Amino acid sequence: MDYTSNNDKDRELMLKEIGVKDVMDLFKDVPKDLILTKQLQIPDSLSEFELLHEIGKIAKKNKKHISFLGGGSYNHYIPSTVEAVISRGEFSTSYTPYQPEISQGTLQAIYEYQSMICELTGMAVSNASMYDGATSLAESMLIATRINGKKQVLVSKTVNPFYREVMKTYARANEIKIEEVDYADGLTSHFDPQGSSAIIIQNPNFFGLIENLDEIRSKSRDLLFITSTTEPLSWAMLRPFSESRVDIVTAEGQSFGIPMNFGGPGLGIIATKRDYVRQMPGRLVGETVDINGKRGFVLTLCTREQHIRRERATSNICTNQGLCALAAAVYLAIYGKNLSKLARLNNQLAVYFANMLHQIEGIDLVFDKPFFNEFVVKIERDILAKIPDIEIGICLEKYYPELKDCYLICCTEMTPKEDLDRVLHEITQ
Amino acid sequence: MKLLNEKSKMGSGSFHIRELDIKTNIPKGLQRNDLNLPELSEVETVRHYTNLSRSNFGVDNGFYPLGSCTMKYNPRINEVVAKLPEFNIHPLSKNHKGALQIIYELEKYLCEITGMHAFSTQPAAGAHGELTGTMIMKAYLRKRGEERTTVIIPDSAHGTNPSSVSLCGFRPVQVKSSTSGGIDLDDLRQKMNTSVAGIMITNPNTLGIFDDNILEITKIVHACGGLCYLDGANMNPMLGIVKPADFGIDIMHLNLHKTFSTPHGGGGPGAGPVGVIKELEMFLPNPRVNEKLEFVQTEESIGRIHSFYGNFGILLRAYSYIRAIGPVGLRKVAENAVLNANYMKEKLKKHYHLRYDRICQHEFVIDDSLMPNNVTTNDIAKRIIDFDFHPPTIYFPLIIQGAMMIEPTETETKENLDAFIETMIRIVDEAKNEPQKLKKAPFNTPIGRLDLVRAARKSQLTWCSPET
Amino acid sequence: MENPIDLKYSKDHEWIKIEEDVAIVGITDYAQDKLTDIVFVELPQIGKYVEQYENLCVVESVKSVSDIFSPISGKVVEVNKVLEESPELVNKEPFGGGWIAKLQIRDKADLEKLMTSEEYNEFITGKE
Repeated sequence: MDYTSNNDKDRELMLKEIGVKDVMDLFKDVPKDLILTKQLQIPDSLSEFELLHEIGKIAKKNKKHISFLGGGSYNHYIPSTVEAVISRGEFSTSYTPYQPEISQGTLQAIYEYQSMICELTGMAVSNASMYDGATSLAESMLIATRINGKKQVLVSKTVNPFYREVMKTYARANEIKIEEVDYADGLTSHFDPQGSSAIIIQNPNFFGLIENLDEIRSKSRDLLFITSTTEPLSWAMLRPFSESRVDIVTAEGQSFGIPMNFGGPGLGIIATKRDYVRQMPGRLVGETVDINGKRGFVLTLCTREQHIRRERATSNICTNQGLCALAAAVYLAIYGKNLSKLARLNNQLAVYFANMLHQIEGIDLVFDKPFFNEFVVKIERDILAKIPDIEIGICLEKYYPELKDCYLICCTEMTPKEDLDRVLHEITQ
Repeated sequence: MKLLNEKSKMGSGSFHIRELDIKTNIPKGLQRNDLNLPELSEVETVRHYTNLSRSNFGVDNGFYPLGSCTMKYNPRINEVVAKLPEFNIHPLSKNHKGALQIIYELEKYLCEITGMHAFSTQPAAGAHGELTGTMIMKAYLRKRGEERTTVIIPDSAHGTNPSSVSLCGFRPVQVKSSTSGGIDLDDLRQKMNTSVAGIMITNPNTLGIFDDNILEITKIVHACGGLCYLDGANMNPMLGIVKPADFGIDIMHLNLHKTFSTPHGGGGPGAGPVGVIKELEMFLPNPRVNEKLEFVQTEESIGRIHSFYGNFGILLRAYSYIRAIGPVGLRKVAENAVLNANYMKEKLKKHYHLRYDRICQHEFVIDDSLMPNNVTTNDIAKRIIDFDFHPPTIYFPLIIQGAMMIEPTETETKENLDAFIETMIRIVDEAKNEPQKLKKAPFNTPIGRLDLVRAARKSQLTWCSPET
Repeated sequence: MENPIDLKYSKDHEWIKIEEDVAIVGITDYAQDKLTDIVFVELPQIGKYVEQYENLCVVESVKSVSDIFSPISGKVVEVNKVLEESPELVNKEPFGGGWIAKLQIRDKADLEKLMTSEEYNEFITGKE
């Protein structure tokens, strides 16, 4: 295959116009000794069908099983309209909307995305998206230290362990100290707010449990209250964060119409209060009018960003995850108010599965607290041996040594009741 | 066009869910009362987005010479590959050998193309790659017990460069461009000292010029104990021609959404893999994939920089692209990209001011300094839109006032280039004869020139119900 | 727009008006014209102490961020809150309603380093 469009005759004419004989004359600024004389050592080109066959062989090495894995990536059904919209070339092959007159499609869709994120979270401002949940959270940590000036943050141990690792990476480069807050009975436990810029928690937390936001807020007084969510479908069922006076809401939006794709691309969500809009990283779309007074949308408040403020920018982020934000917008538009029903269905399946598992000898529900669609169970090893072909959940011991033989189990509409009953049947055989 | 919320009609939502007869475990007090998402029927939703797409412009619509963004054709087969159901697996699934093989092999190809020793595909975008690379610089210095505080960056650099280094606590120090458009060697020598952690350069630079002093530049930096970082945004003209490692690069990132044809998606998702020389391999982000297709970690690593392993879906597309065109195709990309750019430059320099009149690589920069009647670059860009082209990158690089940065890419036909050139010449005529018209362009778009000042002064960032 | 004769001017295009111990600071008509439409003024914190020619605050247009330097040393005692809602006043009334901050003067000798309106007129003519 080859995607160039000119033939030899074209090339000849063009070289003549430039006034050189050979295309290699155009590389005369490259030190002569460095010009490659050998072909690159990569496999030869393939036709489309050969390519599909080759990659298809690799793909088949991934085996699909019934899976109850969650913990940051979720197997949700993607309505067919989502794919139909995002595969339109006008959306997928355009760049960042620098020229608003020919980018109203992207701009309006992002504006609507921002509006829907604000509705879900109760916050005043959402940006046009970040890379993923972990980097949204890490950037929020940086915002907090900028606003409050103290180079220390409190992070609950019930925050996704990978997200905590990413925060540590960003913190190390910025000389920020991360103080981890322990958990008790699965929920964020006591902390001392002195000397920190922010308290950072996850809700529902990594164990799937619903944190007591109001209590954390009341204990953290002058700190910025930052939340992370990996399963934002829960937002359709739970009280919005604004009601607990959260300052910055972040999330991984993969649940909203984006395939798991082995962990990426996802969608970094970040939303905050009006007061902090100038601290926001990334793109923002705003409403305005054209020269005839007609409503239109543009990228706005760009002076926060790297291409203008350079070393003093709020972040170095340039691109967002535009197409993923579009997918999320279409997803939310298609479900609309019915998203609450989908959220309840997820919760009902999880409650059912947890209750049924708990009744089995050798399986215990570890935390007795309200959860959304994930919960932790302790399973005896010989029970696991009965279901070798089922990925029952994330093994927690690796991240929490004290949680030996404990698994984080996730239910979604893609693990319907029949599947759950089948697993229960196999275990009790 | 009306917003989703303005089209919303209570009770028209069609996506019904059958709930189970199971009582929730979540107390009422923790539940929300209402959810005011818009409600539209499925056909109305589809029409809404189809109509929005019609007011958008992508590479699929036409010529898109947006400099530094490499808006080449995005092959359709890559989309098919990326959507193979077997690749849609959970990131913590153990049945992942196929996915790991893609990551491992792609890293190997990128090493071969750039000459670097090892790559990590974890960074999610170019700027994320820069951040990762700078963190590697910092980790390297820390390991050697060195305290270095600045990074040298040319005045023609992308804004992400100074921003990325300052996010890692380094102070960017600017080095001047020379009269021929490369780095001013005297200025560089003057600014080099033992507090310099390294240099972050773009080569070919944002003027589209391959710095013919590149070997001298990397030598000067290395002599002072600094590292050389390459912003690989402009890799396209080097494919199969020259390897950055051969001119002294220690760390670099690639933009898979530029050079390796993955679609830009209206601003992402992209991918910005980072490559390093052998000495720096241990600092790459955790985890990495080894030849046995297992995840491995190193003690010295800068740590994790993404929730999982980066934008795997984008990696798949780039992998597919490299496999499709192979080594011969890659070199053809570079040759045709450079040929197209030089052809346009030669034609346009007769009508527009070209500050650096020399051979260019994949792009070149003209400006508005010869335009009559106060016609500006912005006016020209808006008028270009009327002829069904996307305008070039404007007002960048900052060192050229009124810059127009043109990057045709290798996938465009000579006919497209000629049509664009003709339009540009016509605009010069209009500037002479009808300047007022240019000030009001564009005319053929669903919406006219937009008021950016109003948007910033009275920022309205979400839809507000008229009742509130 | 004329540069009023009762003000003093800095090379960075700020003006200053003395009212007993307090100095009112703003930017000149020349400066606002070069900066184009001001969309945001990041007002300094009340109580902040600035040295002469040091960064006082930042003003933003759509595509640029510019530092405003203090023409004298002193403590910020008042800021023009109206600019939070109406930054365009800096463009419309640079010498009046578009003032930025009031500073308590530390040393009147600072004023001697500044230009008169006549000197400033000459200074900006040389720039054109």
